[in-house]
Amino acid sequence: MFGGTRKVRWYIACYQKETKIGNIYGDGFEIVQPYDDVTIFVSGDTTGLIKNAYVTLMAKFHKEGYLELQSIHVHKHRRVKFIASIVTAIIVFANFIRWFKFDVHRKWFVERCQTY
Amino acid sequence: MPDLLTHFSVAYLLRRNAKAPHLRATFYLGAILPDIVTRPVYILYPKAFWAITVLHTPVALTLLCLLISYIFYNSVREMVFANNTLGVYLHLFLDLFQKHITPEYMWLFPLSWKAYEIGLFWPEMHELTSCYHLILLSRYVCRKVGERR
Repeated sequence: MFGGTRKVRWYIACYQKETKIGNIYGDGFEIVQPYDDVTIFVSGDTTGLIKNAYVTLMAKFHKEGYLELQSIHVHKHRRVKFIASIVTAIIVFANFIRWFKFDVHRKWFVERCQTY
Repeated sequence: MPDLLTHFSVAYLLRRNAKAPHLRATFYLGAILPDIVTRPVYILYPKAFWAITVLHTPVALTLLCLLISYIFYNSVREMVFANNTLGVYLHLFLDLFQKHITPEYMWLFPLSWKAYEIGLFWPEMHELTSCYHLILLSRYVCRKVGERR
């Protein structure tokens, strides 16, 4: 039902945004997908991995029920990036609202004033 | 993606001296638009990834900019569309240089589902972008202080 690199790649890609490192062992580590409460063992190099770090990885599925690591990328300071992005979006929208207002009757945006 | 702060700061650097501030505002909006319409959806609902990721393509975004321009007053519609689209293309241009484990952005959609990236940097180059943001912020503060004097 579920075999080969291609399908695993698809599966990881769908959940890549929130795949976290679980327990780390000598010969591999676990990845946790919080949305589905799925934990899978991944065999491979654990150098530089930290528990609870967000990762994207490509791995090969083995029918015994584990993944064999092919490549991995750790997303450093992922939450900081989220917060910075949300703050930026608020600033950009605030700047937009500063120059445009919504005309409820005509149902479109019009300039607040022309000061240039 | 580089974070939205990086997208915005590059857009700001390019258009900060533009004479019409309302068009500058739409340019900034365009610079963050591709991530605003895609990321929140598939971060909150990851199963929508493949449905939503097509919105991060030049064709879909150009159509979206066209739609957005229709909620603006007639006389500014064309300029809003032009600025919004330029902002969007700036965003896509910056995204082109980053790398992922597997390329994410389908530049030729709907002609092709293949994703391409130049792959110069990972999205998390915080050391480099933080320095850039600090320089930009200090320049902005110096300019504001200079204006008050």
